[in-house]
Amino acid sequence: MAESFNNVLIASNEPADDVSLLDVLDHVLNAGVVIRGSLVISIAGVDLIYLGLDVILTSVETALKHVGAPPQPAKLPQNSPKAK
Amino acid sequence: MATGVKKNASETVFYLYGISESSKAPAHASTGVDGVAEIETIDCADLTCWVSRVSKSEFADHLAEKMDNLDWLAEMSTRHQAAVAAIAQTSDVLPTRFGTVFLNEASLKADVKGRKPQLQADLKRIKGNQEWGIKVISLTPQIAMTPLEKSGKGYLQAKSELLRAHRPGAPDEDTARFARELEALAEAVAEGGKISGGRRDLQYQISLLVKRNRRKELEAVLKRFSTRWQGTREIECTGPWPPYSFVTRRPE
Repeated sequence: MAESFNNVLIASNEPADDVSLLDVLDHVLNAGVVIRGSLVISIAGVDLIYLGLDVILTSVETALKHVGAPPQPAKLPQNSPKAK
Repeated sequence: MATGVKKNASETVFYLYGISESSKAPAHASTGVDGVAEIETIDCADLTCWVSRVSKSEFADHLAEKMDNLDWLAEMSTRHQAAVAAIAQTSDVLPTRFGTVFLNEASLKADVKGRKPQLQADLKRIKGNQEWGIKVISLTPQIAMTPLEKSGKGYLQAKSELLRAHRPGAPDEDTARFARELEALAEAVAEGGKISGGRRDLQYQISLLVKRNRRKELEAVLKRFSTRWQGTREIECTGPWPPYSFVTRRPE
C-alpha cells in the first residue's frame, strides 16, 4: 500500500520502498535484536562477530550533520494514491 | 565494490536477518544484503533463522571499516531492510540489527538455542503486529534570521537565541490528545529514531506496535488530525516496518 491523505504521508515497505534512508538507518542500525551486546567479539576463537553499532551510529549522525540538513523523506504524489 | 572476482575461493559466513516461529513459508526469491546470495532458512530449536551467505572478508573481517563508508552503509542498510520486509510479508519475524554475522551454522544454532526463552517471549509480543513510525512536523514559517548584529560572534549568538526561543517545547494539548489516541490503539509504543528525528521542525515522534487488523483505525486517527492541522502541521507516517523497535535490545 502507498497512499496519501491531505498532509499525511504513508509510505510502505511492501514491496516498494519509499521511505527515507534516515528512517531505514534508524531501524536497521539502532533497533532490532542485539545478539551479544555492542562489542567486537573477536574473529578467532569466538564464532560470533558483532560490531559496536552505538559508536557507528553516532558517526553517521555526525557525518549527516556535516553534509547538511537531513534529506526530506520521499514524498508521494498528493493526488495519485496508489491502491495496493 | 570489486568483489566477486574470486567468488568460489572466498569464504562465506552467515548473515542473520531475523528469527521467526518454525516456518513453512516458501523460500524467498529475494536476495540478501549483498544483492547476490538468496535468503535461506536454517531451523534451530523449533525456530526458523533467516540468513544468507555473505563474504567473510566484507561482512566479518572488514565490516567496521566498511561501515565507515556511508555510501556502502546506505546501500547495505537498504538491502537489509528490503530482505527483512520480504520475510515479514509471510512470517512474524524478530528482525536482527544490521551486521549480525555468524561464522558457521553451528555457532548460529548454539546461540539461538541459548536465547530461546527470550526469543519466544518476543515472538509472542510481536505476533500479528507491525511497527509504524509517526512524526508531527511543524509547518510554521521559518523565523527570519535578520542579522541585527554585524559581528560574526554577535550574529551567531543572536541566531542561537532566536532558535532556542522557537524550538518546539513540551507537546501542546492538541499533540497530547493525538498521542493519547495513538497509544490507545497500539499494543506498545517506543521512542522514535534519533537519526531521522534530528530535524528542528519536529514536534513529536513515536513508534507504534499495531495489530494488522487495526491499521484502518490508525489511518482514521491520522486522517482526522491531518485535516484538523491542515496548513499548520504535517503528519508523517512510515510503515509498516518489521517490529525493529519492539524486540528485547540487550541480552539478559
